[in-house]
Amino acid sequence: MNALVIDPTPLDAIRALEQPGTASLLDTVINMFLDQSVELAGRIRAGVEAGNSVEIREAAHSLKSSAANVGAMQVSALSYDLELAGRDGTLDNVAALSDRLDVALREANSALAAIANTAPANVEPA
Amino acid sequence: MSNQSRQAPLVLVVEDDASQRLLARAALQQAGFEVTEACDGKDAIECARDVLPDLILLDVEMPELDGFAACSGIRKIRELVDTPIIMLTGREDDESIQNAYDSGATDFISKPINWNLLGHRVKYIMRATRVGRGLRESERKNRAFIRAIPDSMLVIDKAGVVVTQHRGKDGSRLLDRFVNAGRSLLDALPEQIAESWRSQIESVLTTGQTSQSEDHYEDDGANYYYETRMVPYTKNSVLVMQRDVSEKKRADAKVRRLAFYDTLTGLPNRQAFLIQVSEAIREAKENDSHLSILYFDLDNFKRINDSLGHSTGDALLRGIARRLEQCVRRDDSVARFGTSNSQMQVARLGGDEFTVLLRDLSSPDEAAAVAERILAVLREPLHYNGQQFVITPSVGIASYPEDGEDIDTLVKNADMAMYGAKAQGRNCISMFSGTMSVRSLERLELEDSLRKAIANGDLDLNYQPKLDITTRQVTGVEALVRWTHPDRGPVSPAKFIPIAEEAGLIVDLSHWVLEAACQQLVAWTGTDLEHIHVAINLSGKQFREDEVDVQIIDAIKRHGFDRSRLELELTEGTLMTDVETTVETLTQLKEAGLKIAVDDFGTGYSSLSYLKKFPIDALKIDRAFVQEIDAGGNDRSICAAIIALARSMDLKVIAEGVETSEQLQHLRFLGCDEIQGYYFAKPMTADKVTSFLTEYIRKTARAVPLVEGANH
Repeated sequence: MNALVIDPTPLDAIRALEQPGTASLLDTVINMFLDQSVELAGRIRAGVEAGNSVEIREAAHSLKSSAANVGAMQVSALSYDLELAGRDGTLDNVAALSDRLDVALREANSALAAIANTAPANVEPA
Repeated sequence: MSNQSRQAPLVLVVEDDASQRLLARAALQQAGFEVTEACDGKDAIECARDVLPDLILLDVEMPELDGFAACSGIRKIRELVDTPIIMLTGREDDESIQNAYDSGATDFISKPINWNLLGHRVKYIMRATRVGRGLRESERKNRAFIRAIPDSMLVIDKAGVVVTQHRGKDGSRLLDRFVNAGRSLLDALPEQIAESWRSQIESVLTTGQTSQSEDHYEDDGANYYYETRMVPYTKNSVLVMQRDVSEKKRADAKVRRLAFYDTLTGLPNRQAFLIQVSEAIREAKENDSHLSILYFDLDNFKRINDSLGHSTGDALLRGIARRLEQCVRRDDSVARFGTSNSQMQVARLGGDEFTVLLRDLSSPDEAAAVAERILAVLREPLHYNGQQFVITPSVGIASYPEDGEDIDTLVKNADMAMYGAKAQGRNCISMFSGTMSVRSLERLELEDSLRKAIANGDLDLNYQPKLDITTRQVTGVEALVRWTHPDRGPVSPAKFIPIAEEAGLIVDLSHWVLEAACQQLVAWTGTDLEHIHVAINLSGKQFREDEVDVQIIDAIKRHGFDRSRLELELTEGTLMTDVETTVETLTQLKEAGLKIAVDDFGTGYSSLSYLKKFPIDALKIDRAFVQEIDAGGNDRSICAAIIALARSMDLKVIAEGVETSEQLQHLRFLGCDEIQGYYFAKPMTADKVTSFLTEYIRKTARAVPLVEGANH
């Protein structure tokens, strides 16, 4: 199921950057995303409720990039749609998009959390 | 630049998303870069200004100031105008890519970023930047280089059409004149240059080799010289580099002029002459033809210099040079011999020696005819400063191959032949002849050396003291000229005086002796030797020179000493020639206060009635009588007769060549006044005679009784 929600390619790329003897880069990035994505999704939701297209565009733009970074492709694609809607100011569909984003994000985050937890704990306190 | 001291290139990552920054840092560090970060556009500009990164990764979508604005801002920082900036764009939409380039970005990467490729991408862009910088640097250097070189450059195609051109700092009169004169430069250039360029372009394009030539261009009376080099440029065009070498040419010509031309007359000098001769010999060998060297020496020229000064002498030498040049340039008589004018070359070897080289003669006889004609021209009177001068040359001719096959022999023989002409009485031509005997050659050589010795003052005066028999005091010295030949060593006066007389050098020689004697008298003035008289010998030739009395008196005046200190010795022969004039001249000298003695008395023929007329002071008995005085022959009687004659005429008698005490006893008995000879003292150099006499005077002053004792 993880494979469906999370594209492993970006994660492999991140693993490739890891240096032995340092905190797991992948874990750090995933954890950062877990915090950041929930906050961004909240900003999008608030923007949708307030009809604030600028807020929607900026938050969606950020989420789009960081989701793609960790292989959460569904999240990234939905964020892109929201970003475009925010940029164009066509907010008819944004509430539905936001709902779908929340679902996708939940799935992705639980999958990512699992990846971060199962990642080998090669943490060495600095 | 500040970033050159870094160990690793520094990348500034500008990104508002912390996880993206983190990943970028990790990716770049893995690729060996140093990383610094900024999280928004404003921050980016400040950070960039502070750290001057080697490359900037710049996110587009950021709070505060977006990536495009930040990029423009960074580009305004002087140090970062060409620092690579990579924009991180959301999607590859045309609009943001266009915006990125417009705001000064170097390249873009679209998100999501492939972290494993980022390092490679950045390295690649950095390398491209370095290459670009290198190119710009090299272009800048090239521009500086081109600015610095004086050459003008142009690229022209096969047909002569100018593709590009650059004028060097020296400019180019030639190009200025013709480069825009028509479609093809080759059609516009002066024909001779165009021809040369055409064949060079052809050869450069076919062979790929460079070519070099020199172009001469005359414009408005001025001469321009260009060194032209061509190198292949493209398949159909060549790069022409043209350097103006006119100035260098002029300098070279000046150096050549100084090295090969005589500054006084402007004629080729000895070096140039030797080169001309060696070329002519080579040519004659090839063509099996003849050449002749005419060697001119002006008769008695030194006297003009001495009596009228060098400026007159120089003017006359220039006059002679011009005449020689005219002879060479004109002419018919030469043409008649089938010799073209350029086959005659004039040179001045130095002093009053000139040469004319005749080339390509069919026989050496032609040379004599040419020499005769030149001689006729040179004999014409010259005018300078309202005075008229007749200068006659003596000419010697030596021809190749008859009189020598190499340059040294030819020149030496021409010189020899010239002395032959002098020996024949000057003002004539002498062909070198192999029959010129060794003796006469030796004689000519001696004459030549003597001439130089006199001219350079390479002679010496020796002094032989004369002793008063009664008082035992030294009364004076006779000055005797000595000559040491550079190779042969001392030459006897008996040998060189006749040579000097025959070669017409005796007058110069006597002048030299007079000067040297006067200087010696001046040197003794104010010393213990002030009372010592100096006697000089006056040759017949000098004595009969115009105004010899005036010359001698002038010399004394010039040096300023008591006239009675200089004595003149003349032979009987000199006195008895032209008695009237002799009396007149002697009277002048006598009245001026000089003492006069008759030298070698008894050997010549003296008319006693004439002798009485001469205002003389002393007779010198020839050494021949003195040497045999004690041999029981009649020499003693002759000495007695001479002494008696002198007594009767109230003249002093001096015996020459006294070598023994017996001779002295006889002479004393006969009543001779003074003796001169090895018995008392031999001739000595000026230094030696000075110390000898000083010492002698000191000694005799202490030994007064001895002198008294000798007194009867």
